[in-house]
Amino acid sequence: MNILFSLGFIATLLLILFQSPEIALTSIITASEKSLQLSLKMCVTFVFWLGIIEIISKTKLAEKMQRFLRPVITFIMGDVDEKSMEHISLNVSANILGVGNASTPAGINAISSMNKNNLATKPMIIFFVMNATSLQMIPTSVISLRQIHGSVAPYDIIIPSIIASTVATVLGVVIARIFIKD
Amino acid sequence: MSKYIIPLLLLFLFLYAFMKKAPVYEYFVEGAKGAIPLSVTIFPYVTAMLIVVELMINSGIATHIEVFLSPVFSLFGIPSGLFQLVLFRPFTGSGSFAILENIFTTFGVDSYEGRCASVIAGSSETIFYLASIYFSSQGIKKFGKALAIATISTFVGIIVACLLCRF
Repeated sequence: MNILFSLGFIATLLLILFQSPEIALTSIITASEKSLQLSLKMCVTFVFWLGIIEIISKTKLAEKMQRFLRPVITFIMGDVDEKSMEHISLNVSANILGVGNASTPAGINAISSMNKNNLATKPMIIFFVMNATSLQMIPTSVISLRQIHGSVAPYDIIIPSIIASTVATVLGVVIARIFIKD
Repeated sequence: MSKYIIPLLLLFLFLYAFMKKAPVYEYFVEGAKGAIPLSVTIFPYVTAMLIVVELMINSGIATHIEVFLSPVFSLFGIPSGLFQLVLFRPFTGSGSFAILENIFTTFGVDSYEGRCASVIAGSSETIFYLASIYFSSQGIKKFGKALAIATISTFVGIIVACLLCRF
């Protein structure tokens, strides 16, 4: 991240210097404003979904989901403690059902529950790769955007999307299982 | 169909909690309390990333990177019109949706490019954004391998997407 952050700044600032130096500061301010708006938006969804997640955990529903999904998740990620497994089950279910807003807080909870010494472990990496290669089955936002733009077949992209994201997820998990040490 | 999922799930949850006589109100508020601290924690990480993305867009660096990467793209059968989408998709959700709309108006929503772009946007995730909130904001360092694996797998997914749209 440090390298990416530095390279990103150096390369873009060099270009901006020779084109229009005044946009450097405006870009930075605009981006920070966007970030504040995004964080506010996230906060709004966090409030509701963290509340719901607490209900799911405290009523032992998460424990039931965890017991149900444990065999599959252990097969993919390796052994994980029970509390982390609850959060992982919630994150995976929310992703698959397309409740993307709920999957992010559950995912953060899962990672922080697995975190022991601030090092990215094998199960954490596999969990991240699963999330980062999209577990969502139906790309609802893309479909509605296609409808707005007058597509004659807005739903035609569902099956290719499922195949492409499945290929990416399976490949990512396999690479992580082979190349990441325990 | 999908519009029924959230209300149905919530209905099921509240019925279940009601039958168990759970103090749902207290639970909800207890969980919701975590929202502001969580947002405050992730805010600086999101800002750092969005600044670099904004600088990348406004400096026009994409066109410079495109010169180097377009041979790679054509080698794998990715249409050149999708370069911006593939480049920015891992960083920003809203930004890549703006690029997707641009592709729709330039090439047409049902064109080969339009369909490829839809599948790419629908089958991939904001990898770097997720890494910044899952790893960085939780104090976890050295996750370069995780980023590399996610990026390579997503790229293969994009190649598959472009291949599938030919049929």
